[in-house]
Amino acid sequence: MNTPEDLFKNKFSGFEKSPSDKVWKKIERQLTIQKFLKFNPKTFNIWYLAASCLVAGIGLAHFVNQENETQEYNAKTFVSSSYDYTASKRKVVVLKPSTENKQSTKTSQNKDITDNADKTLISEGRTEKISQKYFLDSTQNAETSKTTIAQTQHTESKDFTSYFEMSAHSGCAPFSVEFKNLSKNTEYCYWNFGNGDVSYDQDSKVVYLEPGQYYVTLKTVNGVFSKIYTDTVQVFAQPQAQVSYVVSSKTLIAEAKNAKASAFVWNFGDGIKAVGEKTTHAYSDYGVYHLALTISNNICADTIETDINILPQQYNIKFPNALTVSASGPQGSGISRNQNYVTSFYPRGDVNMLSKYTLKILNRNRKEVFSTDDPRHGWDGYYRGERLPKGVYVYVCQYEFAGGEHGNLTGNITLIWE
Amino acid sequence: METRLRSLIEQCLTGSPKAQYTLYKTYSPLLYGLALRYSYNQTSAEDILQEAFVKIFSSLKDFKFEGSFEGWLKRVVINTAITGYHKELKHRHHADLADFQDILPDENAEFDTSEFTQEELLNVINSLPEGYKMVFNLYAIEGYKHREIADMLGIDINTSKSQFMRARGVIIKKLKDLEKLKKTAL
Repeated sequence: MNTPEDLFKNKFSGFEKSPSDKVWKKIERQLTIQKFLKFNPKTFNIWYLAASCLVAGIGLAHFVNQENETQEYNAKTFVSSSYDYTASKRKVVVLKPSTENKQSTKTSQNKDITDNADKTLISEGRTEKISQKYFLDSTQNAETSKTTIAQTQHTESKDFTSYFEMSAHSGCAPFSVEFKNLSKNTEYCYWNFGNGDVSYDQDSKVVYLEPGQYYVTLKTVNGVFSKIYTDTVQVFAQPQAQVSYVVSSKTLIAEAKNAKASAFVWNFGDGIKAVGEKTTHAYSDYGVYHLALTISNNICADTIETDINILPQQYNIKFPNALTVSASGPQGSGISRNQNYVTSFYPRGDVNMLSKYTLKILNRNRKEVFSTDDPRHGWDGYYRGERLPKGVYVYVCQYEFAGGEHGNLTGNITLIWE
Repeated sequence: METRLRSLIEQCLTGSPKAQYTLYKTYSPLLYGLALRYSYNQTSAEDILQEAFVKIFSSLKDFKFEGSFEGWLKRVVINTAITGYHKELKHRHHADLADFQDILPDENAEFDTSEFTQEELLNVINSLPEGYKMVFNLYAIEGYKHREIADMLGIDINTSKSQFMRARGVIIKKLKDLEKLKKTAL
């Protein structure tokens, strides 16, 4: 005989019973799920692949959806220089009335207004989801705030719209855009041009100085109702063309000083064009040429024009107007080395370029007192060994340079005694 | 430790389904027998077993090959049953407890082992209220001390003692009833 404790202990020590088969199946399933959740590249299998595909698919669908929206938007922003407004989708946002009458709180009135506004939107052919959503939001707001609009005082006109057209949607800075208000049945309108400028005028003209994207909104008000219409202006950066150049003989070496461009086109004014930030051009003839540089950043371009003088080198010679005659006898025909005063009369300047040269010195009686055809042959103020009297003498010079340039030079020379 | 068992455990740790099934096949009858005592029917026992095996496989890495693997497995099953018991506590009513309040335990009651089948005894245990069942199983059959039981169940040590005494009283009464029933049936 046993106590109850012993009875049970004896009976149940090592007590075994097989569970039903479904238990293992359940365990197996649970283990599989656990294993799957503990992702391990070693055990990558068809299920991971399927899950990855599913996630990728969802992501792709989301991306495509976004892309479509962006494309619609881009189409509107960049391509619409033609005014096909019916084809492009517009965001018409109907806002909550700006003033609220708190006297009556019947939601049915709100609903009437909603219907009314919906009809307006449909009749305009712009029943976009966004606008409906906005409108529902505003309606809900109106309901939750327990306010409503007194229909008796203000009834929204069925033709009340907010809409404008613009002369262009995109351009280069500074970009001037004209806005034309085509809204119907509005009491007043309020423009916000997105660049800090605002206006209450019907039509407006705005100059956008800086590149960027600007959201232009037109808010029109009719009684307690207001509507907003939005569009965008894209302003691109305008490059500034600058040129620095050097002319050497008939060759032009030029460089664009604005590196913020992707394309550089040179027109040298002689029918020849070239591309590149730096350029070298050899003109075939002397003359004045109209150099033009056009730079572009692929969207906007700028051109600078300047005249280039391609001329032969100018040579000249000149003579002193006084001569100090030495007291110590004739100094010869050599070139004077005295730095304080002229002791030998000869031309200064591009003497080396002279191909022909004659010089005559005449006294007051037109008597020739000196002549030479050598520019390096100076006059010392003596005539046949005699120091000539002080006074004014005349010189006559004929010359021709290597380039073909020639002429006469005449002038007075004052003789001073040392 | 037996090398075969060690290699089986190591294979289970690598996630081999075959090894896992072998382990399950080897120990599930023993653990199911254990789970049956802590549940009120076969379905709940199977639920305990299932949950316990998932725990066993996920925490097998924690088994340090110290002490008996069988004991470790049993402990997991018992802990699972206790967790289930705590969860059930929130949802179950204890109105039936009143039926067992006034039973005075017969200290000297003794029974012949051969008189009862395992199934009959199991039915007796299963018919006990959850708290009594837990304490009786843990104290009388598993051999835990009242202090350990109090810690495991999160109850006072005296509660464990009194519950055991009450469970014992109920069991003695049930066994005696069963005895009478068998005699009259004969």
